[in-house]
Amino acid sequence: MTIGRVFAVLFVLGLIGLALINPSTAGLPPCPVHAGLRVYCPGCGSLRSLHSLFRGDIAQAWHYNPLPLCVLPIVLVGLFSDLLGYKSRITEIRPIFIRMLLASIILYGVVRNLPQFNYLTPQRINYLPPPSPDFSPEAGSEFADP
Amino acid sequence: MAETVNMNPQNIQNYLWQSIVVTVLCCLPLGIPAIVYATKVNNALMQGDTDAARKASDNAKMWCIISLVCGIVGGLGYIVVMALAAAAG
Repeated sequence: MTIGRVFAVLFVLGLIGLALINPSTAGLPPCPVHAGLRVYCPGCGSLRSLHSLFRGDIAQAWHYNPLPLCVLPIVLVGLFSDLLGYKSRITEIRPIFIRMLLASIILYGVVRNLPQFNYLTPQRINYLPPPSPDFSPEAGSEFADP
Repeated sequence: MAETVNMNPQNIQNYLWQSIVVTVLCCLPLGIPAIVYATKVNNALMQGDTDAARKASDNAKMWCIISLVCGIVGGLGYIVVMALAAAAG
């Protein structure tokens, strides 16, 4: 069993756990990085994001952290090639694209801590409907009888 | 149709997806060298330098394992410590 396959099995187990457990309500302690340093690292919100994805709430997953959704395609390609043992072409990706991905992750970690980009921190979507305008046919609208 | 050339006949792994996962989910500072070594694997394979690719592959694997172990041990240890602290009041 190669280390790649061990890793793939661990990752799948973790994903199953995330599908079953809601990290917001599971009583997990707060992330030590955020609790200690008060910074949002690029991975902040990724557990909640993946859990939302399993619930089918892609919008909420995106708002918690878009990074897992962005790297999901390449991770799934690598995961399935390691699990099922077929040869992927992941080693043929041009190095410049991997460097750009790494630079994006680091830049994202910096930018989401700036106050101007506050919306990049993990956000919970409020699904309550917008407040309706004060409208009642009885109380003197154009639909009411004169 | 163009003939596809096998750039990687020895099937050297670059551990790219594992590096990305440990960077995002486990431990950012330890995942970054893993991604850098994954880049080096692809670079060496493009130049046909199998020895350098193998060396970079071993390094990428090592950093992935270090980061994964830190993430799991650190995460579980942190949960246990916090639970004990909560139980102690």
